[in-house]
Amino acid sequence: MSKLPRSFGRRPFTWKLWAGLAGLLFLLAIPLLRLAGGYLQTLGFLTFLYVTMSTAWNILGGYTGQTSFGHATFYGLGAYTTTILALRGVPPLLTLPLAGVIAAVYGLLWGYPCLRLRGQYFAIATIGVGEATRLLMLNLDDLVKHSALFEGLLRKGVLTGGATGLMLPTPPDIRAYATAFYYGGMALMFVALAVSWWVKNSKFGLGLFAINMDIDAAETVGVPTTRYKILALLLSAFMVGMAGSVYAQYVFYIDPQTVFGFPVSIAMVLMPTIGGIGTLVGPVLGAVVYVVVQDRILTANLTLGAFRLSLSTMHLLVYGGLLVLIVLFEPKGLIGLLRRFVSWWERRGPQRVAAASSHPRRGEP
Amino acid sequence: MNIDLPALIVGAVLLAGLYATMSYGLALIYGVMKIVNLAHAGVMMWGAYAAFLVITRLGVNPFLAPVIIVPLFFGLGMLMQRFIVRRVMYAPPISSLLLLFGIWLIMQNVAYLLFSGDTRTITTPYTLTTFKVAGISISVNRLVVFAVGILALVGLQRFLGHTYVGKAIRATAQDGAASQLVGINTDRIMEFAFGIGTALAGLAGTLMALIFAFDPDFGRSHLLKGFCIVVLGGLESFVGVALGALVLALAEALSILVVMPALQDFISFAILVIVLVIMPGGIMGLIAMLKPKGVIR
Amino acid sequence: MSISRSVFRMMVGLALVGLFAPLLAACGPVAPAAPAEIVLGTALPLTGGQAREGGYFKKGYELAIKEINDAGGVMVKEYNKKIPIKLILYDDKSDNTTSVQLYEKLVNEDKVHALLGGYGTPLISAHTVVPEKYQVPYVNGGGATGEIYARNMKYIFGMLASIEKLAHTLMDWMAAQQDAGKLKKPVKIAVVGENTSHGKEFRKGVQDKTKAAPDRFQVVIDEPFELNLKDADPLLQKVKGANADVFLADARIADYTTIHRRYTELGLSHLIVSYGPRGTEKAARDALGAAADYIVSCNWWSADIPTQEAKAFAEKYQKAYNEPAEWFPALAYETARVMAKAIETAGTLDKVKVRDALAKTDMKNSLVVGGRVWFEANGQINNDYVMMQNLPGGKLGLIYPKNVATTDAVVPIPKK
Repeated sequence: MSKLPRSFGRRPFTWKLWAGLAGLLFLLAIPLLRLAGGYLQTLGFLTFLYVTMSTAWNILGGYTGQTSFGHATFYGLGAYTTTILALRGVPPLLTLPLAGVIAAVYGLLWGYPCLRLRGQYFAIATIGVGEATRLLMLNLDDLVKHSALFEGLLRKGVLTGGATGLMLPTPPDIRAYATAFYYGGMALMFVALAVSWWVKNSKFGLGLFAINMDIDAAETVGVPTTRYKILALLLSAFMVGMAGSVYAQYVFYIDPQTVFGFPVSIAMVLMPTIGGIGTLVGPVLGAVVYVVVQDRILTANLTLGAFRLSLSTMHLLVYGGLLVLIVLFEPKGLIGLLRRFVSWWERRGPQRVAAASSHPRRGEP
Repeated sequence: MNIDLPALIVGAVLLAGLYATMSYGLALIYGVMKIVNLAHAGVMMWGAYAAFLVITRLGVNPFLAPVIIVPLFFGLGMLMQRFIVRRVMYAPPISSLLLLFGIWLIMQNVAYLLFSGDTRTITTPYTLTTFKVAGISISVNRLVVFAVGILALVGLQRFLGHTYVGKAIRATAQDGAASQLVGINTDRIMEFAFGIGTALAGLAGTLMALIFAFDPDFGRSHLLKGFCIVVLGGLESFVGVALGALVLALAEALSILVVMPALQDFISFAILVIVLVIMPGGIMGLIAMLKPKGVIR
Repeated sequence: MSISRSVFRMMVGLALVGLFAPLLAACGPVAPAAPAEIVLGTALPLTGGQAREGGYFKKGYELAIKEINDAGGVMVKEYNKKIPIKLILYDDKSDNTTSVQLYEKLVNEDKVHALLGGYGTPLISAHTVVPEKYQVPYVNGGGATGEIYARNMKYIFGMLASIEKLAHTLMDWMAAQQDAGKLKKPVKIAVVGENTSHGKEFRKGVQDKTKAAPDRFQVVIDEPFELNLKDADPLLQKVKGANADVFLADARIADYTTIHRRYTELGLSHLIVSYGPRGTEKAARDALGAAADYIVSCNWWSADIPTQEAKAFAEKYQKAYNEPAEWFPALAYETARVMAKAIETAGTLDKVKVRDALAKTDMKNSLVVGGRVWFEANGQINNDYVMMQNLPGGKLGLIYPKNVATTDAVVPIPKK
């Protein structure tokens, strides 16, 4: 990892470190500050969840280049695993890793055959898998109740609850619980980021990037492409599964339309792609912007004289537009834009030019 | 439980005509430009809404609606290709996929904005009329939709086979570089092909609006079925697409004998995934496999 | 190339601070003493799959609140004055997570005094956790499924009787027809329901009554169908093959229209046809024409109920919005009135006291069937349903309960 300081200021390293720590402290303190009456805490929790999902998707979609439109399957499976087990008495916290494992196993099931497909075809297959899974989960109870083999899984005639969804009992002190989950969500986010960082800087990650660039060449050079691709999928699925599990435990109610729905998959594609696909920070930025934009837009109204337009549906419209712009003009997303800005900034002042020319330039920063 | 099998099969055949119309545009675009057009779903949905507007707001006769809509969508497709899609023609295929996905999102959400998410239907004077043939009740609507779809496809096939532009399209699909060498303006041809593909999608959407209910989310499951048909039936032949459409429609219809009706779409999606996976290397693999055998030129 | 970890932290920190700054600025000290207005909050599906129903609810709420405000507002004894109501209304896009987020926002950011419900069982099931979590009184007119009220929640109240009861009412009515000799016995039933808890409860209700009286009823086919159905063909082919005498379905307006269209195209016919609460909606009757005649429906309200309150509301609504009143806005209207009444009874805006007043509600002269609003221990109302039948020429007949019935039901449906 490079320790070359960028010419931001006299002592760049310490400055950034302090700013980063301040940010971290802020995050930790949010529940205590009860800002906006506690709404910021909910928003923060959602952000952590989305950052986790975004980062996890990026491992498969960004580093490896296999764009998946079916990641909602992992999210949903994680949510359902947790809920089903919790309703049968398993302590919720234990269900967290189990949720990830089940999601990963399912990923292996459909991923192994599908990963053979290249770029576009893999994407189409994942849309198919995502929708098929949603339909299956919606109707699983009706299917299972006629089969003696699976009858044992039903409890009071309910396994997945189908369209009714499943409800978790709410704990007596919901507020404290929510705060605990805020920190839990934050922890999960940092774990995801740590994993992503580790992957990026490891030999495994190098292999993934190679696969992304040219799979045949990678294969020739000796990268075990199939194994790596599957590993990436498993890692991605595991973390998204855990995110789903956390979601279920926070909201206490899940149904197939929500957790297996195409919109969830879309969100997981949009966030890292707009933020900066294939980078470490891109998915984070993308997720933060996604949540904040959605929150602000949700209650915004555009008033043009007598014509009042509710902007609540504009969210995806904006994102669709951003996606088009990004694909056309800046494939590296917001991070790419940021870097362009940074390099423009660096090239600005004459004193910087003098200072910069004495540093070994590494091309486009 | 005695399901009326003949009625089921007739129904499937009528639906297959519609499915074929919907898939051919997809196949054409892929054949000529090697682009997987996710915006196809958005175009179909807009075709349905265009029909809705034209029929219910402007009072146009439902069977004349395609006459207005098809040229409109053709122009739209050409514009889309010239100003947007062309830029990512030579980028990795995933870029065009994402781009068209973004366009689909935009189309979908503009529809939400303008029409709200209500499920709508179009009622024509002929909507509920049926007539009986050999004891099978056939809906006039469905029959006309089938007829229009087949007419369009036959017309297209003649166009591709017997006009300069048509042959140029087929040439570009086979080998873009060689086509340029013989003087074909491939850029123009691609615009044309995209335009035709979009027009077909619009037509399919219009026809579907007459027999199905629709909302802005409409199109996604049909898109997947379209891919399924294209992969099943192959690209460059009308016969292939028609066959694929028939196979899928029949599979769907007969599936209710074994699974719940609610899982009918599941069958289609499962077929899609399986077909994509077992065809080695996807669509290209199928062609490569069949080329040496002289099945496809 | 990668950005170093500290840069990442900085960016995240800056991003969060920068983007949340407006929120920070917005929060200030809570206002003390008599508030200038009573703030009620709600999130309705104004876009998305439930947009039509959500729109009706919006109109109902707004009509009620305008009426109350025109009279000066709600009398709150604690401050000895009438305070007008302000309604904050958000669009949850028919999406569960959005609904939850919005109710959180209403409670925390907008600091509402009480909450009015949304529409639709899945949405309500999801977001009712929020009022319970923050202990804010909540009453809704759009969620009938019993499960919502089976969670031991103290702050949640509902104005719709359960779907199970709807199915039972329908079945009991059919039993009465059998006793009157108009319907054969036993009768074979085909029941289908949308794949939601609403539909499942309906199907279960039908099955329960069937098991209790096997000499009267037999269920020959029991199927769910996907919500927002596009093609009713596979479902109806199966129904056709089942050769039932009676066709019962539970569907939303859109699906009811889609299914019945195909039903007619396929040439299906049964002795009794019912789509649960649907059937009388003008939009559907216009689209289906004569095909919608003789459909029996079982609903929470009808503009034809001959009580004074029902008629008064129907007139008010027609005048304000230039369209006939259906049950959606009627129940929404009453929901808002019930909440206002509870605040008045409590004499204060204190959430716990308002909640207690809601629990003890006994409102007479209401437009609901039976004229009286009260809640069971679980928070759900338990009043009667009204049943109607579509008659030719766009007309409507009330067929149950006896004291509001305007006509005898036409059973079986005449063959064409």
